[in-house]
Amino acid sequence: MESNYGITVQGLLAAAVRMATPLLLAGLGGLFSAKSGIVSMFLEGFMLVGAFMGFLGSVLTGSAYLGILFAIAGGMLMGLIMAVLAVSGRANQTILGVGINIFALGITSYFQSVLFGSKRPTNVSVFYDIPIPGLSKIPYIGAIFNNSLFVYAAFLLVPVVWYVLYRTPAGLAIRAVGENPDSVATLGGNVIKIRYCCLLIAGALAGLGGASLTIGQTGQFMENISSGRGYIALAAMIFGRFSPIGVLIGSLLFGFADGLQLRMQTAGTAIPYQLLSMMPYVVTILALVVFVKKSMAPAAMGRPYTKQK
Amino acid sequence: MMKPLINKKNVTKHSHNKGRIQAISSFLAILMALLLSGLTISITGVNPFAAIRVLFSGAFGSSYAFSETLLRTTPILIASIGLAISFRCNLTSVGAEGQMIIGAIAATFTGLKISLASPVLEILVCIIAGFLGGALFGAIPGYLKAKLGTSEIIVTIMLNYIAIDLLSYLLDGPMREGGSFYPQSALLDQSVWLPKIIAGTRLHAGFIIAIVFDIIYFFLMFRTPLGFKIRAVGFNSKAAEYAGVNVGRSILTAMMLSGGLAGIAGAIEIFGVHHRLLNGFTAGVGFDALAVALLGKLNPVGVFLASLFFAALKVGSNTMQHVMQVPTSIVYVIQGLLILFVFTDTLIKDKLLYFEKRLKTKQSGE
Repeated sequence: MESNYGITVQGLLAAAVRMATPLLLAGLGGLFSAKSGIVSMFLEGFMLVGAFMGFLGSVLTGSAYLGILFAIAGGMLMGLIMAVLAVSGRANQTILGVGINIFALGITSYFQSVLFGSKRPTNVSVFYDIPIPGLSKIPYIGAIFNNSLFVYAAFLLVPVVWYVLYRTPAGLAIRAVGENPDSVATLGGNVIKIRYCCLLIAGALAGLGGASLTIGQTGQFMENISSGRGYIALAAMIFGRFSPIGVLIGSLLFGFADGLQLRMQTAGTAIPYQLLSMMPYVVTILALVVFVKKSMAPAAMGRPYTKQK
Repeated sequence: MMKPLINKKNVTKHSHNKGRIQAISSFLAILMALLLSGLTISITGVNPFAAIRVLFSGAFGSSYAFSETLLRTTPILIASIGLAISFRCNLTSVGAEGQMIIGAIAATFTGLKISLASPVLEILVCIIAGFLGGALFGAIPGYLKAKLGTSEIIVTIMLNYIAIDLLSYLLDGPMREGGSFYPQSALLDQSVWLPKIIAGTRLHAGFIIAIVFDIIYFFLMFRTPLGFKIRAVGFNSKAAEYAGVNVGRSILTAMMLSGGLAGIAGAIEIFGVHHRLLNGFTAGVGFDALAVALLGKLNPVGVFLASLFFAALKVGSNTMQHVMQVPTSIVYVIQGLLILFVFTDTLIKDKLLYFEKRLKTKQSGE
């Protein structure tokens, strides 16, 4: 699947788009929580749970589509836990994110060992590539239109999320809560409820992003399969100045770096593979250093909200 | 485990009763986290109490088991003191894992290259090299944070992955033992191995070094101008700046000290346990240290007890897996739950205060 291309424009584009997909889904999810003023440190943990639940659902039901439902449910459950602790519990959101991520790493590895042990299920139902008739035949960029449903869904969600956040009353309420929760409350809005909803959406989307790593690719779950992608999605969000288009560009940039290094590894260059596999992480740091001059985070980010009496 | 988790500030600032309520809510938080962990263990069909008994005997059951727990405590404690310094400066560093690796690389490289007449001096030079390696690696996120405001969380996480790749590269090429089939460095000369402090065990002098650092941490943070500056920046960087503290320099210093300590933790793991550089030698200590620094509430005693607790979990969980087939990943479940519950104990505290208030109004009404 990956090695057919060598390093060509098509191959690189296809790989970039494929590698960007989990980042994009998680980043769009993180956008909802960030816009409502909650630090999205938890993305890594949400993705891991989504990856495992998607895999588990697919194994249990034999259907990759039902796997998606499992992943979304798992992500939303994590979102609910985060909401109870961060919004109702008013605890430090960064520390909670660390806790969520450690817990997710533990619980997914634990159930992987308990349920499957060394007997890895084979023939797990996954999403196959669906070429879009006509578009997939375009020279050079055609490869983009020969991908799995996850990829199309992720890219179609960009305008959807943009529309929701910037052109609907709900989106206005979310952004207002992230900038100035007290004024939203004064106008009769329910800050707590909006933040709960945003964390549930973040959970669903990040869970989906995680599922794209298992049932969207090889059909296998491995311990810590997300290996930092949740944090890269967080970086894509900061790099993209907390906008859906920005998250798209950030995800594509990191996806491209990841795709390029994978291609170079399979093409067998003289460069040691470890130096190649560093590349996405180096690019992440450089992108933040070069392009992010000042924080564009919502004003109320990270501040627990207490209802004024 | 309990006492250090009480936030001392709250105890002294508020009434005696509020302090007690804080203590009770912390205790309930820990109890709830452990109950949920027990429930997770019972899913496998294993009696959680039996599992915990096995875990405890695995960690403390014999003097050898106990020495293994202290051995494991050593790098966790040193690295978590480092993280505590950065957290005191309100920097969320997640970089201990990578800084440990760079410190270990620097120390091992030095140990293999130099040959001093005095082994003690040579060990010292190597540990200082480990400190410098970690400090330089910590300086990257510190500098970027101070100059550009770049998120230290993301930079430290990315640097962890970069360090893991760098170590793997060095062990495949430049630092690989000549003719070795395995990706590992040459063995350090036995004269520079950290001496054992209990015969017949693996416990080495690094444990004493860790305790010394814990004491130094207390004096540095609470008895020196540098510690005061770091805490002032962490408490309110604007106010600190107004009071004449160089915020950028404090951030850089805190991150370098933090990285340096992680670097020493890495060096000590190599010179005390493995005696050569290996892939994966950190065994997740950098991440354990993160949980420890948080759960120890950045307090010298708290961090020590939390290190001991997590080291015991790690060591005991191996026995538990062996005897009861409970996967060792349960340790991360317990760590995660403890962080989630202990840092949300305000929820419990609010409830307790509410009940106390109701009780009082009832009494006064009678």
